[in-house]
Amino acid sequence: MELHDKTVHELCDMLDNNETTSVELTKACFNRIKDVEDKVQAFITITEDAALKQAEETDKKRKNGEVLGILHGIPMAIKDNMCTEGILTTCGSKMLSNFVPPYTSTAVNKLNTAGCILLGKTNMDEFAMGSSTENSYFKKTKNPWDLNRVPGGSSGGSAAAVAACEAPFSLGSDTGGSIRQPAHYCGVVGMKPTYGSVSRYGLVAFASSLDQIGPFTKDVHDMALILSTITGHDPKDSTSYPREYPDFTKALNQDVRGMKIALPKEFFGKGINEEVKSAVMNVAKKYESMGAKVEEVSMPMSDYALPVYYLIACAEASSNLARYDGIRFGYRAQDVESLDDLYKKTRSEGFGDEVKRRIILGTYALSSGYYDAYYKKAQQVRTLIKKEFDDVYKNYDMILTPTGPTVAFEFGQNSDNPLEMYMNDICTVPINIAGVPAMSMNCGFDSKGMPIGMQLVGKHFDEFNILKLAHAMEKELGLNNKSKL
Amino acid sequence: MQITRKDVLHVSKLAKLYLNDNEVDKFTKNLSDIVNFADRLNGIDVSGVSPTAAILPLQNVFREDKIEKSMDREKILQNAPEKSYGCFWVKNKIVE
Amino acid sequence: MAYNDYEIVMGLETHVELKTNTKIYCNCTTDFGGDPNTHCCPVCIGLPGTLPVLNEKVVEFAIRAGLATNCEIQEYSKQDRKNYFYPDLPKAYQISQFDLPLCYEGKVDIIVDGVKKDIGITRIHIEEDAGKLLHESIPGSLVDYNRGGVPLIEIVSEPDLRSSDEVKVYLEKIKTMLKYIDVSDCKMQEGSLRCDVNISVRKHGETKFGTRTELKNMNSFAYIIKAIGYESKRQIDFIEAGGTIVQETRRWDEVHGVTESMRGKEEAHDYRYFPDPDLMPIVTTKEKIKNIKDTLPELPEAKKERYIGQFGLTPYDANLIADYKNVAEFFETSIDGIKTPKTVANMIIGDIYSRFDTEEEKEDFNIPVSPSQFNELVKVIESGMISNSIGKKVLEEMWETGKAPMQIIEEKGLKQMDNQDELREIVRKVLAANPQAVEEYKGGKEKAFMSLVGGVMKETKGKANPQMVNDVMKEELK
Ligand SMILES: [Mg+2]
Ligand SMILES: [Zn+2]
Repeated sequence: MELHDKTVHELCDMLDNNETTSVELTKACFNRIKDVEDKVQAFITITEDAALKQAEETDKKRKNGEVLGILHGIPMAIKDNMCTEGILTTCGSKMLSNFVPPYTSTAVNKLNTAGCILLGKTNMDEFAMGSSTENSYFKKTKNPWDLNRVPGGSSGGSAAAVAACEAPFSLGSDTGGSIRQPAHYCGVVGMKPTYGSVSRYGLVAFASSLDQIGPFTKDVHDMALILSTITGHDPKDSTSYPREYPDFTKALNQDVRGMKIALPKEFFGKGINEEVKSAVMNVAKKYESMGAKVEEVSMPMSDYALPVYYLIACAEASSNLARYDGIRFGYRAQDVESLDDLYKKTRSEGFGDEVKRRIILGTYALSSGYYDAYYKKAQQVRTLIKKEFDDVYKNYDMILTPTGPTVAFEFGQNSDNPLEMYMNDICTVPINIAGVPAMSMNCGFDSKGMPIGMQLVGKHFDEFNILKLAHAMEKELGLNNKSKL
Repeated sequence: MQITRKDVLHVSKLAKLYLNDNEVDKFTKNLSDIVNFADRLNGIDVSGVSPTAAILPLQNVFREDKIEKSMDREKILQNAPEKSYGCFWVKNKIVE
Repeated sequence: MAYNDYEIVMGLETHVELKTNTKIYCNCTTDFGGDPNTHCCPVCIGLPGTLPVLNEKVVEFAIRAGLATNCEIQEYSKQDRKNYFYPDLPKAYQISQFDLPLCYEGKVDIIVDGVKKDIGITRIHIEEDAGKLLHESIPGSLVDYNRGGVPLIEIVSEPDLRSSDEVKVYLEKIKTMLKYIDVSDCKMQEGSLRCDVNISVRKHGETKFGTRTELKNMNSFAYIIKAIGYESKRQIDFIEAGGTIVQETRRWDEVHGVTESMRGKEEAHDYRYFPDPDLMPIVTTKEKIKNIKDTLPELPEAKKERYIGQFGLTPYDANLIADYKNVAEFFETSIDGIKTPKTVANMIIGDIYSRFDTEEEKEDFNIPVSPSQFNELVKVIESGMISNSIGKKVLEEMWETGKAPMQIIEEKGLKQMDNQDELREIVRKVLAANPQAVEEYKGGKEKAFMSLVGGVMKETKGKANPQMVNDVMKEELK
């Protein structure tokens, strides 16, 4: 096994035992990137020089006995919608194709402080709007398991980078499934933490009340490590929740006996591929055999989650994306006749189709006369959906579902019908609406060898039990989830 | 709910977007599909249900009124498409 | 012409910059001025990824303003986004408050031509200020975001105002009040108090409101009064000529002395308000309101009542002192141990105010005489050691030299002469020297008496105790 194939916790051990150095690791990653990036196309920006310099410094510090944290010297990739001071941050958009932030996002800052080394910024659907990363202005990222298929989205670059072993771990963002769905498509572990547990400061907003940053890792142990580092209260984010965040590695190797797991039948119904369904049902059976109690429940409100999601997300997005007006940063159209022309030309040329579509939908939902029927109604149904989750958690510790209705699809398959594309999110959006944490983890493969993800959905701030159940299943299944790339 | 071309054009004006005829057609159809899909919410009785704007029970999130150094102007202006006299520069006449 | 047939109906939206140290959603300074874009950070220029965090003082100040204007305080309040594009608005939305403002349903009373009237306060909400457009000698505009994000309260009145006099008194009242409770400097010339005037006209006796226009962003009393005059006449002329007023925003053009339509900017205005998902609700408990109430100073209205009841000031004098925070403070310190506070008030209004040229000087009340020196002076006058008129001279000397009153009185020998024998001597001398006046007095001319007293005062350089001179004179003339 080569260095780039290893997990974060394996690399941490090697660094601690002086079996490797950060420079060596970083170089191994860039070598791997050189080998496969032509095929995978996971990165928008690669920061090789800065990374190697930083790796050298990190090694020097280690030599001097100055270890910043558990992740000291570990390379990482970051989705290109998290601001990084002095490093291009594009959000996959022409609009920000020249944007170099003068500040760094809190989540990335925490990893920097812990001693991580930035390899580069990863590709994504423009402004995180999409489920395939086909909406990027820059390139199409390929699924490392099958280069004819999409990696999922919007954090497709971050998922593919980890699945292709270009980076030991990465960060993505999840508004309606943008971490979990690509994790499912690419056979890696992806977590959307509880809303409010990872600071959104410096994450370019798509839908503020739904967005959350989370990691992609190769296994559950790594997930526990990264999550422990990035969670925490941030006074710069008013939606950041002040509380004690645990050391999540304590969730590993725990007994799951007696835990109560709910299988909501609506998540296994119409539109869910049979192979996907049976892989997840297999997991349910295994949990039962491990001493957990598994029962079917009904969550009828979840049928409404998709429209609620699109109304809320697009409404917030229409306002969040208004600042791209060509005045202070980003793209500005040339040869304009008036201020109004400057605005309209800049925005029409700077945004892609999907972004425009969502801005128009969101503007419509907020506009005078329609606010009550759409936006307000959606917020009211949101209350009911949240209540339904609360009710299930009165009797159960966890909800288990597929992460998405199908495995990764081929390029172009859904791109001309937005509504069909949105259906890929039916298993993931209810989670963002309720703000609860959820994780996708590989639980098998379909007949063509494509990975299938299962989704564990916990109570607010109960990432601990998600990791506990996931780690137990990971060991139980013992899958080899490395792509052949 | 039927979405018309007129609706799309009105909304695009609010959102400061130019749309060509093809785009207007396409977005009218997309928007109709989505709005029709959203109309399934009409079946839900929400009387007396308060809207959820924030999912966490947070309130009174405040900051102390303490001055911190502002950012160097060079950095503030570093992304300006055009700048002059230490300001962001809009070359077009602004109608007040 | 029919102008007198109409009444003008006005409501004000007054925007006031709060005097917090930092902006409403970031830690940049709120200092006025500074080189362009030097009071800025990623948050207040709206860079992608930035988030707002509410300044605690803004809420406190807004609630103070609400309590001072007799408002109810909203228990559950939230912040909303008002969406529109303009280069001075960095995020292309202003964070403001829509349906749940911090304060609502208040009132202030104003006195115009001696008549007291309540002006309803619809609401007071918090919001962020926009940046500034500068027009240098280059094409287009320059944008400076130093002011962007400075906290504002917007005080919205009911359409209760009927004349520019009422508007002026109302605004002055608001200004005095906000300075009193120390939440704003209200410097109109720096734009920290600006208002929009909603104005319509209707025939007297009509109960329905006419269609209103909105005069935007007025920041001087003089302009406001001129603009109201112009706009009300314009509306009346238009209606009289058979026209129908359209609801629109108008701007005062000071150069040409007219109001003009701003419809160009307004096309398609639909602000699409919705709750800002980046900010959490503001919940105000009764206890918190009480705590804020306890820190409020006594307000001008209460002071006036007290000055009239407790100190026997006339309502007119009480107004002239209580309206200015610094004057009221000076007054209250300098009446310590004084039997006739009215004398103190008279001296402030008569002798001190006359030294000021502007309203600002009166407000600042930055004078070279300390309250304790002034108190000493009044005590000396009260004791009869010096007369009122000598008192004026002493005050003048205090003003010039900063010396204490007793020192001046001793150095200049200004002590009142109240030795009866000594005085009688002088009175006799004066009577002997003015036989004609004595004759006239005895013939019934009262005036002659006054001139004889004047003679004594002249002889004593004003130091004679006037009452004693009177008494002795009358005895000598019997
Ligand atoms: Mg306002
Ligand atoms: Zn700032």
